[in-house]
Amino acid sequence: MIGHDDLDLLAVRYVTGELAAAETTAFEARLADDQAARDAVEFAVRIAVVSADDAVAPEMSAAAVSPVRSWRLLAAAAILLVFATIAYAVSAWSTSTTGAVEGGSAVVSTDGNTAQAVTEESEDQVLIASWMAFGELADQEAEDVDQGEVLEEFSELVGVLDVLEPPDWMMQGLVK
Amino acid sequence: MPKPKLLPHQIEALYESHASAVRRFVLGVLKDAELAEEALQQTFIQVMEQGHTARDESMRGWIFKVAFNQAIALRRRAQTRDAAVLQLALDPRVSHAMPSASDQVIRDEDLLRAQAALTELPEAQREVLNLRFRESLTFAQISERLGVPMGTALTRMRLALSKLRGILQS
Repeated sequence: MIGHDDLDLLAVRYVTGELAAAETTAFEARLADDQAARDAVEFAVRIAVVSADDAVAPEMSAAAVSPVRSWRLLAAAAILLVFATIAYAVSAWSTSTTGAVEGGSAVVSTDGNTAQAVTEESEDQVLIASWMAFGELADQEAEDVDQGEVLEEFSELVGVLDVLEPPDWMMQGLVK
Repeated sequence: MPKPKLLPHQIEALYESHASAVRRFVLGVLKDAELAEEALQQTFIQVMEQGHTARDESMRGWIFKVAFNQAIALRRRAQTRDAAVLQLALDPRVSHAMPSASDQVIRDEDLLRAQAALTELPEAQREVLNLRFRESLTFAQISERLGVPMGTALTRMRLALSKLRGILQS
């Protein structure tokens, strides 16, 4: 009589395909009539899945989280860009009201104090650089995030949730 | 007088109680996620049609027996036996068909309990589990990797399973 521990090990070797052909045949003959053996197979699969969960999780989380992370990055970049644009507009208005010194010297605010040692050229460069950085980031994220893949991931997650309810095929069968 | 067929709510209750375990079982037999789903489906069609003939006290065993028969029939049809190599841990189809963290295959609380149980294993036993299920090494490869006899690798797995079963059933 095989013990429970040995049965569990046998089941693991069975589900991982490590039994010899004759052993597999014998074990499957047992599965036909022995609920303990069937339970052992179910248990082996459960342990295999749980043991592998850490290996699977990063793959799933990377796929599931990256779109979120991407859009957060884009949002942050967009906000920075808006601030840069506003700063540029304020600065331009300030310059127009106070008069900029030729040659890119210091901008003087309306109260006569030196507000910033920022030249017109550098402001333009900052704004241009911001737009370019934003554009590059958006392009990069668009390349990184395959929308089809994202949708697939989400649909899989939805599918996962769906199995918490009896499937449609069963309910359709019930109403026939 | 013959028993009447199961009512929809009875079938639904049976599905909720047993489907995840049956799915794991047929996956272990078939080593193919799609076939396993089909076997599960066929099993519950049988439950709808014949479930009333099973004794209540042996319903789980009856369902598993039906599932096994369905799995074997499907495998014969698909002729996948020779090609079946279980990549259970790393096969994304399997991991998605049996999402480890959210599918009812392993409910969240069960998953947490099982993961906690894993941490209670001695390092040597956990290592064998990891090598077998994460890295998909055979026991021969595991023994080679660890520099121990194959019997030792098998014993560590057996002890790990025994301890996990004890923890999860407590």
